[in-house]
Amino acid sequence: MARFLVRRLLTMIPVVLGTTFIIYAAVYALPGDPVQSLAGPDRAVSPAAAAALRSHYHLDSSLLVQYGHYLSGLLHGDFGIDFGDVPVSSLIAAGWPVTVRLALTTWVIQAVAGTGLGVLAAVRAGRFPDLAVLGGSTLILAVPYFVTAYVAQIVFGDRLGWFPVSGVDAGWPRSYLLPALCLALLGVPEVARLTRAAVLENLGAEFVDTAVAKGAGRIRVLVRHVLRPSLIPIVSMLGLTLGTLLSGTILIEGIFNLPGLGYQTFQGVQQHNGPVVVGISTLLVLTFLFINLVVDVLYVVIDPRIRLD
Amino acid sequence: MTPSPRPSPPSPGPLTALPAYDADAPALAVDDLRVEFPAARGRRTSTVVDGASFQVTAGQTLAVVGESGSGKSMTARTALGILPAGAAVRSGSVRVHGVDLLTLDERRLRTVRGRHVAMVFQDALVALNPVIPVGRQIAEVFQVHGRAGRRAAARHAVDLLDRVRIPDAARRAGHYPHQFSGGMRQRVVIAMALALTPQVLIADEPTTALDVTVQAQILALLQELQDEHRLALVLVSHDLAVVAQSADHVAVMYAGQVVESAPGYELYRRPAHPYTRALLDAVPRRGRRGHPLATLPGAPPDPARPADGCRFRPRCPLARAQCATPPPVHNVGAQHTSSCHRWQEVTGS
Repeated sequence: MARFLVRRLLTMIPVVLGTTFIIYAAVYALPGDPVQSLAGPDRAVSPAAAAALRSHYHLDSSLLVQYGHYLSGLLHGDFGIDFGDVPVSSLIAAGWPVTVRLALTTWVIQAVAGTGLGVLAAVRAGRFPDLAVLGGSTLILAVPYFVTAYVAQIVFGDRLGWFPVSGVDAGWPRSYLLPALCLALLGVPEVARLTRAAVLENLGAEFVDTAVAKGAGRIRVLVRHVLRPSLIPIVSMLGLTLGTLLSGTILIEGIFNLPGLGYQTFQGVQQHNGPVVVGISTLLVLTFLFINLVVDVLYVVIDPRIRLD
Repeated sequence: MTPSPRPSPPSPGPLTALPAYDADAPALAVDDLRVEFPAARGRRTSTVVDGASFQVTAGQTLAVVGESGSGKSMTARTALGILPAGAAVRSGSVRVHGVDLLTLDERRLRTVRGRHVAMVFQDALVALNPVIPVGRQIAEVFQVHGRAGRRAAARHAVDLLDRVRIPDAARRAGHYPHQFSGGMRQRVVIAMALALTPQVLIADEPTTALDVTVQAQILALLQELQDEHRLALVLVSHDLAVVAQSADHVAVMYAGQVVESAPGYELYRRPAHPYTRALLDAVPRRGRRGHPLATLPGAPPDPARPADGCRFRPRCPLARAQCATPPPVHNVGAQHTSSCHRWQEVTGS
């Protein structure tokens, strides 16, 4: 296990270097002039002031030199400062809790509803609950989720007034439930279908017959002998989903005006604010890699047949 | 799963308390059992067990022999009420000491499974839950029948592993199925089946997944445990050579029917059904070296479209016009029956 962890952490180094460089290069290659967009589109900037700004933010250096500066800062725990002289770390500190709350709320909804519906569909395979889950998930996947999100805002936020339409002023959970539900709708069908397939496979397994032959009751058979071995693919999917959720909530944060990391990334791109985009992306890459590592370790806990070394 | 503190419904009580229970009746008696997969969309009714009867008393071994698809495993599974989805018992009875299991409700059937009738499955690798240590899987038998708490059940499990001669049982109890060899895994399954010393032990092809030397060990172990506990042992097998020596009685099944039934030695010495003879001829023997091994041409009939009359007719070298009518059960000798119109020719040849 220790050897596995060391090896995995070492392989993360090139991944982190590669992804941060690609993101950095992409922001560098964005058309437009950061100094101009900093000043505002209509204002003339004096050549002297522009040169001073460029030198201050290392914008006059080559891509590699700029990246080198950035990386050395990163290694010292410094995410850099954005063009408004605000440390990126404080932007992250402000946005991170919002994104984490949204992602975790979504994730819990997905996990509970997805596995629950999947199990229901599997034990009633071919009958009404199964067909309803299948039909419902097809319908959900067919509607783009920003459409669902706007409809949800109109119906539950505006007409019914159950939830705030935007912002996080109402705190958790009220401000987060509606966006989380909209976002979860994307993942629930996937989790449900995967769960259904895994449970169906194990329902037909011979060790289930063995358990019945022992005299075990229906619930015991279902929980210990069907669900337990079905968890392996489900956990791996839920782990990856959490990674994606933590990094991929840009659109929903935009629609619901949640000042999370996605929202800030979006603004950073619009303003050519390189340090913000690169800093947040780097953090999200690291989060994603970390969650993957946790999932791999969890495999061993769930499936004793898997050896990590 | 920890036992919940909420009061459980009253237990249905032991099988021995039922009025039909008779300690002197055969441990297991299957009578005129008929199992089918009912017709469904675009599918005809398949009769997979068609009027099978046999019985076995305490301390005796009954071998049920036939090729794949003969209905032997289906019959065995009926005795535990674990038929595959879609299969239904049409008629007949499966009595354990006089109590017809087919009339019991699911709750009472649960008290019979593992307690009165237990099963050893063919392939221990798939018959054991891959993600639960074997000791816990054995202990579960005691727990579901309310025979022991968690700790006592774990101790019993180690004792059982020891009894089926798994070395270092206390440590091995914590291991997972994939950490055992094939023979050791089958011993685990046997330990599990024997946990509550059932009256009837059904072993469905218990040695098929094992190599020959391990096969012999497992059969010897089963026999030893049978003697110790006076188990009624039902040995389901496709291999007549494996079971004929150890079985007190053999029932040969073909296409869902018992076509011949005889004491083991008698069946060997004087087969009275052409199918039995074909099976015996297909067994390699000393003294027949250099001769090609006899094979039985053709395949068993489709259970959805059985032949009229004798089911074996299309593959039978002795088939005549009279075989188009269903053969009656002929008494060939003491406890020896054959469902063949021409059994006298078979025994005479």
